[in-house]
Amino acid sequence: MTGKVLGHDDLGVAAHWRAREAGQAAAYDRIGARYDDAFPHKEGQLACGDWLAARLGPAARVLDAGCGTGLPTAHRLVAAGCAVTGVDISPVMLRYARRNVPGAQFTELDVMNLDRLPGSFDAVVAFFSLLNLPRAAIPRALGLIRGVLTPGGLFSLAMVEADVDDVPISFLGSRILVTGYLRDDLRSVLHAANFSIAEEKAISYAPASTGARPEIQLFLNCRRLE
Amino acid sequence: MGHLADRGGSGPEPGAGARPVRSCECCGGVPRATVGALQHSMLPTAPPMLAGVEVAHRYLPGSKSAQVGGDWFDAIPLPGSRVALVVGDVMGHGIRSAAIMGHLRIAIQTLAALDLPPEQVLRHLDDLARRLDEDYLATCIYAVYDPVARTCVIANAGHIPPVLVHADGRAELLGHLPAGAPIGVGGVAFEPVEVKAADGDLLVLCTDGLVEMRGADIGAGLATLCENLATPGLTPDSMCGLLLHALRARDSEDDVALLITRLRGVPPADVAEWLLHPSAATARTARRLVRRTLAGWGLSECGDVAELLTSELVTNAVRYASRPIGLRLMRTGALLCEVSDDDHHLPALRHVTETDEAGRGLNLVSRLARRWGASRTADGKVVWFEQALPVEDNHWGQPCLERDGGWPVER
Repeated sequence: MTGKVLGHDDLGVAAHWRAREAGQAAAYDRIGARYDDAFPHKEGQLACGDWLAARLGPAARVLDAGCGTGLPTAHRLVAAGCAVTGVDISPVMLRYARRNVPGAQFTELDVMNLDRLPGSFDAVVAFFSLLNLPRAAIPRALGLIRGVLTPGGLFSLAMVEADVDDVPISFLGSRILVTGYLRDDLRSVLHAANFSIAEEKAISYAPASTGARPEIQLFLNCRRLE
Repeated sequence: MGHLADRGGSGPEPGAGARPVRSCECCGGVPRATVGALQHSMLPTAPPMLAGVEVAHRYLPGSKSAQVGGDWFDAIPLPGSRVALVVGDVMGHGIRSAAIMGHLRIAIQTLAALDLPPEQVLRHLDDLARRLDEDYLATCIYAVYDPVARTCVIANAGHIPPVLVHADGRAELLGHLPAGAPIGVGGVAFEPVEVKAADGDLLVLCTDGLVEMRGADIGAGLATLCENLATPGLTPDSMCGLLLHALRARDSEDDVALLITRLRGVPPADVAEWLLHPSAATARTARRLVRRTLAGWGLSECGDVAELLTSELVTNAVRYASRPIGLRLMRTGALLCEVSDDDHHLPALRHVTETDEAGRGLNLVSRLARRWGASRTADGKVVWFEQALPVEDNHWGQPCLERDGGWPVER
């Protein structure tokens, strides 16, 4: 829970970061469509999509941060009439997303560079994407998400419950770095980033593959505090 | 019944009728009762009651000259509520085939207890078979069903392919599995294949005695098998009866082993798993997670022992782990706790004296858990223990202890 917060002003750090993110992106490029094969049921994501859709006005602007294949979240929100922008670091995942959800805009962008996106959003979703960041970067990522949200904007977050910081695991045959919090600690991180938590749900999930371990998925529906 | 009883069926099956001959002509005049008793002692009796599966099986002897065969089957519980499903066939007939079958079956039981991957079980079996006797061959399927991941990992040693019957009644012959080579050939790779298994699917393993039809090739027999399996809604036991009735020729000379398993899965809500960074605080964190999870499952009364034993295993794992450790809790017919880490050395139960600092944890686990064990994994080891659930919380509505299907009690 402790540790320094990563700044992006240091050039050495920036170079190290780019190499790290290239490794993560390459892993997701290799995983590609196997991601949706291993995680065919996404009730948690759909329930959060419903929560957002019920609260957003017509043509609300929504950012899907770490959109993956675009399924089911970007697809669900486009169907609800939202203007969806999806960002991801994996070009292969973005290719799937553009095919799966032609009605959304997709851009290759690291969550840590969200301040480069023009405009603001009524809601942000980040499903299992921030778990690819080290703990030292997560407060800054939450700050950037808060920064692109309109006042009172909505934020849906999904993480895997774990007590690890930036550790390599084998995931669907690729090595990725993952971070997790136990739920009490995750709430503290969100509160510290000026989000209030309106709803929280924990779902036990068994991936349909021996290449990924069973996990407890935490879904939190939040609001930007002023 | 004949000189070998029908194993597990409630009524007589074709081919199991009474026979007047008193000695078995293929066994050098050994009395039939002796031959029957030998083979009887080497096959499982009642199907095991295991979490996540429903198992039924049959064994039928051959008729006439080839009375005693070398077919066998098994359903072996593995750590993590997984189960190994095995059917094999020692080529040839007679008391020697039956005796070799006994060797191979016990060897597989022993290899399964080490929780080796299917292809390695077959490799060790092949090595063993060639050390024991150079002159026989056996075919064998070894499948491991994981009711959490909902997969079967199957390796084949020259056996006829299994059939997966889907919930809609569609019978899929898994003919794409690499056939491998029979046990005893040596030098041929066994390649595992992972097959997805939806809840409710049936995995059907049998020996060629069921599908060989005189004058027809084995493909026609397998097709007939699949046609007969396309009958949705039957229990594994009634499916066994139906198949034997439909396929078994009355004068068939070959024996038959049949193992049908309903793959039921363990509901995801009954599984909780975390990765935990190893530190001085990890055991305390693990206790907190156990307490919270058991409260959610309404099993708080198991909590004190579960917390204590989990904390012992986690403390041990933290001592040796260099990477995050895994903690998994499962509620099936019992409460199961697994702690995995990246150290390959298996813990051993040791005699500890009052002054020994180390070694106490495992003695505690051994005394307080119903069962416990340790096995190597691809990237380290897993140590687990199991606790009985209070009777009213048991999904099966019966005391857990009656559900043990022959897993050795390690105490």
